[in-house]
Amino acid sequence: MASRAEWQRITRSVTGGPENRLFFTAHEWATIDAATARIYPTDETPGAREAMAVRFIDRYLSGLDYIFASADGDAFLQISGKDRDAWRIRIEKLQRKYRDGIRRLDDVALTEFKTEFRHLDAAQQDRALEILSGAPKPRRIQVAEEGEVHVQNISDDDLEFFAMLALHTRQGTFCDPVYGGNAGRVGWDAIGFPGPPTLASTQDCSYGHADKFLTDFDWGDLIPHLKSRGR
Amino acid sequence: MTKKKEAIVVGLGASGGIIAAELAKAGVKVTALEKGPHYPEDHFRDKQDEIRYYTRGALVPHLSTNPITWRARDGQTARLLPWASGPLGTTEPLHLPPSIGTGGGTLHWGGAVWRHREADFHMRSALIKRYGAAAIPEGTSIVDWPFGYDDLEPYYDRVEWELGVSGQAGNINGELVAGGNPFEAPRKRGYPMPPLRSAAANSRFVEATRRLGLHPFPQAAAIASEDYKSLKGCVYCGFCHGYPCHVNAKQTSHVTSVPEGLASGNLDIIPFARVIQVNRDGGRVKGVSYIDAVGKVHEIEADIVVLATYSLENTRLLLQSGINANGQVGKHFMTHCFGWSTGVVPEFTNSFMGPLVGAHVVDDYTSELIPDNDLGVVWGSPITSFPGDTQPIEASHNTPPGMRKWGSEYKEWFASSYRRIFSMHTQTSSLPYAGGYCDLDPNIKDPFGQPALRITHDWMPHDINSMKFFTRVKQAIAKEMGMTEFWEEPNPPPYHLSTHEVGTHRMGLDPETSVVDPYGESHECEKLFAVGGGQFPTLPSYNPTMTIQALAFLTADRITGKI
Ligand SMILES: Cc1cc2nc3c(=O)[nH]c(=O)nc-3n(C[C@H](O)[C@H](O)[C@H](O)COP(=O)(O)OP(=O)(O)OC[C@H]3O[C@@H](n4cnc5c(N)ncnc54)[C@H](O)[C@@H]3O)c2cc1C
Ligand code: SF4
Repeated sequence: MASRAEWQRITRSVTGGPENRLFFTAHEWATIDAATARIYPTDETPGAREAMAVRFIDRYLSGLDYIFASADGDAFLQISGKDRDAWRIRIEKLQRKYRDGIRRLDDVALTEFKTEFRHLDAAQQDRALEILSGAPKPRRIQVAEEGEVHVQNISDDDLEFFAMLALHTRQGTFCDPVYGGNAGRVGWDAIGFPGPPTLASTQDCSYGHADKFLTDFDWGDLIPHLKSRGR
Repeated sequence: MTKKKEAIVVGLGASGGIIAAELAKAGVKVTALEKGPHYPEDHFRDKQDEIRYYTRGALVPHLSTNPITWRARDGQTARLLPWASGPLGTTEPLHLPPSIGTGGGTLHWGGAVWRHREADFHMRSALIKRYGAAAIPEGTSIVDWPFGYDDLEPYYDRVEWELGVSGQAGNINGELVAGGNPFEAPRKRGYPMPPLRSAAANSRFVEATRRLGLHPFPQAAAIASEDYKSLKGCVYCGFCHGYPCHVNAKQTSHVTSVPEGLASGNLDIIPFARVIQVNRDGGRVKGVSYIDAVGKVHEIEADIVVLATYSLENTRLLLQSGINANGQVGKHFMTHCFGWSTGVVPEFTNSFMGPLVGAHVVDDYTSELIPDNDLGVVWGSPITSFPGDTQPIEASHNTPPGMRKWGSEYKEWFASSYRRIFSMHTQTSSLPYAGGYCDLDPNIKDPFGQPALRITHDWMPHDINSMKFFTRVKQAIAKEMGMTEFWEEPNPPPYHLSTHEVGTHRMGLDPETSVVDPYGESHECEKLFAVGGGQFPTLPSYNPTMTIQALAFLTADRITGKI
C-alpha cells in the first residue's frame, strides 16, 4: 500500500475558468462566484473573484485528486489507503452541503427578491447572505471590552453552509496558487504577504527571511507598494 | 511467530526516538513499531503550503481512524472531540494529538523548550509551605515528584547539548547572567547556540514589559540558530509550528535520533505498525500485538517493551491490555489552557516571518512566583510573545470580537492589519482532580475494532481564575505596547486537548498510588516501560517536551544499565 510518505504524483490542471468546471454546474459556479465576491469583495484591490476562489472550491469538491498539491505545479498527490477512505467521506459530505446550500441561497433570493441569487445586485446579495448566515452584523467593541470572542481552531467539517463557504473563500483567496485560488497572487499582494515565488521554488530550501534579520531593516520597505498607499 | 526480540519501542516520537536510538547505540537490538510512515529524509522539501499542513492536516492523526472522545463530566455521553470533529477531524494542529510518523510530535512542534523550575518538582510542598495545607484545592491529587531538579539537571544538559537548543542562559551555577531569565533554576553551563533572532515588533513587547517592571528574556528553542551537529541554521521561513522544517533546523527525533539509531545497525523500524495490545506473562512483559499496513495482526515477543505513543495512547494501551490493577491508569489528567491573545500594533510586525519561538518570555509570575491575588490563583504561568509564524489563512480566521468575517469592512480590516498582528499567550496548568480522567469509551471503536480513549474533563474554577488573572496582565502589556486592538480566546476555552496532556500514567515510588517508577517502568508489569508526559505527577506551566526528552534519556540509561 502506498503510504503517506510514498503517494504518487498525478498531473491535474488548475487553470481555466467556468468552462473548465469539474464539480459545479454552470449555475452553481456562477452562484458561488457571486457569493465569494460579496464575502471578500473587490474594491481598489482585487477580491475573491479575481483570486478565483470559486475555482479553488470547485477543485476541492471535485473528488480526491486536488487535496494535497505537489510542488511541481500542476501536480497533486494521489492519496491512498485509509486516508483515501476518510477523505472520500469528507468530500462527499461537503458536496452534499454545497448542493443543498446553493439551493437554499436561491430560495432565500427568490423569496425576498423574486430572482435567483446570482442575478441580484450587490446590496440584495448581501442581504440574502445575511439571511442565510442567520446572524446580524455584530457590534465592534473597544480594546479590553468584553465581547464575543474568536475560536482559534477552524475545520470545515461541522460548519453551517454559510460559515463553511466564508471559510473556503478565505482559503481560496490566500492559498498557494497551485490550488487554483489566489490567482496571480492577488490575495497575497493585497495583504502584503510575500509568499514563495512558486511552491516548486521552495524545493531548493531557499525560501526564508533570514536576510531580513541581518541588518537594521526598515520593515515597511519589505512590501513597498503597501507603504506607498500608507497602510 | 517471529523470533524473540531484545527490545520493542512503540512510537518514534519525542521520547521513543531517543530511547530507540540510545538503546541501539548501546548494542541492544531494537525493533521500533510506528503507527505512521517512516518519512524519507527529503520528504518535507515541499512544505510552504498552508493548505496541506495547516488546513488539511497532512501530518496529524485523523479522528476517523484514531478516535478520541470527550465529555465534560460523568453521566454525559462522550462524542468525538467536538472542537475537531467530522470524518477527518482535522483542525488547528494544536488541539489534536501530535503528528504521526518517525519524529512524532517533534515533526511539527513549535520547539519552545524549558527546564522545569525547582518548585515545579515539589508543587505540593511549595503550596503547603506558602499557604498552609488548606490551600490544596479540594478534590485534587497534587503531589511532589519522586525526584528533584538537581537529579534531572544532567539530563536537561544532555538534551540541550546532544540534540541542540538555542537560548540565553540566565543562571549558571548560581551566578546571574545578563540577558537571560533571572528566575531560572541554576544550570551547569549555557546553551550550545545563541538565541534565535526575534521578529520585528518583538522589541515593543520587550520594552513594554521592562517599563512595567518585568524581566523579559529570549525563549529557549529546540531550533538551531546556527548549524549544529545534524541541524542547519533556521532561515526564518515563517511556516513553523504545525509544519515540518524543510531545512532541518527544527530539532526532531526524525533528524537528531532515528538516523543515529539506524546507523548503529541495531535499529529495525516497522512503519504503519499500529500496536493494539501489550502481552504479558504473569508479572512480566512478553511482547505486543500490532496491526500492519494491510490489516494483518502480528504478535511479537521481547524482553523489554517501551510504550512511547504519547500520554493518551499509552494510557489507552495500558487500559486495553488490562494493566491497571491499582486503578490509577488514566487518572490525574492535566492539560494546558493557552490563553491565546491577539493584538494589532501601529507599525509593521511582518508576522509572517520567523518561527513561533523567536519570542521573548516574562517569567515573573510563573509557577510559585505568582503574587498573592484576589482570584485565589496559586500557581502561575509564563507570558510569551508570539511575534511571527502567522500565515495568511490562519490569520484570516482570527478577527476581533464584533468583526464579521465577511464583507468590505472585514476586507479593509484584514488588509491593513495582517502585517501588524502581534500575539501573546500564557500556559496555565490545570490541576489533577478526581473528575478529570481518561478511560475506554464504551460506545466508540476505531476501524480496527479497538475502543477509543475517552477524556472526561472540565475546566475548574482555578483554571478559569488563572485565565482571568493573566488576561489582566496581558491587557496591561497590550496597553503599554500601544496596541490598537486586543482580544483573547474564550475563557474557558472550547478545547480540552492542547498537545500537552500529562499525568495519566503517573510516576511515583509507591506502587499503590502510581503507575510507573521514576524510570518509567511499570510497577505492575516488569520490563514494561511507559514513557512521556503521562509520567508527570503535576503539570508545570512550561511546555513539557524537553522534560519528556530528559526523562527518555533517563529511561534509556536505566535500560542499558548505566544507572
Ligand atoms: C503544533 C504543535 C506544536 C507543539 N509545540 C510544542 C512546543 O513548542 N514545545 C513543547 O514542549 N511541546 C510542543 N508540542 C508538544 C509535543 O509535540 C509533545 O509534547 C511531544 O511530541 C510528546 O512526545 P511523546 O514522545 O510523548 O509522543 P509523540 O512525539 O507524539 O510520539 C508518539 C509516537 O507514537 C506513535 N504512535 C501512537 N500510537 C501508536 C500505536 N498504537 N502504535 C504504534 N505507534 C503509535 C505516533 O505515530 C508518534 O510517532 C507541540 C505539539 C503540536 C502538535
Ligand atoms: S522558521 Fe526556521 S525552524 Fe521553523 S520551519 Fe522555518 S526554517 Fe525551520
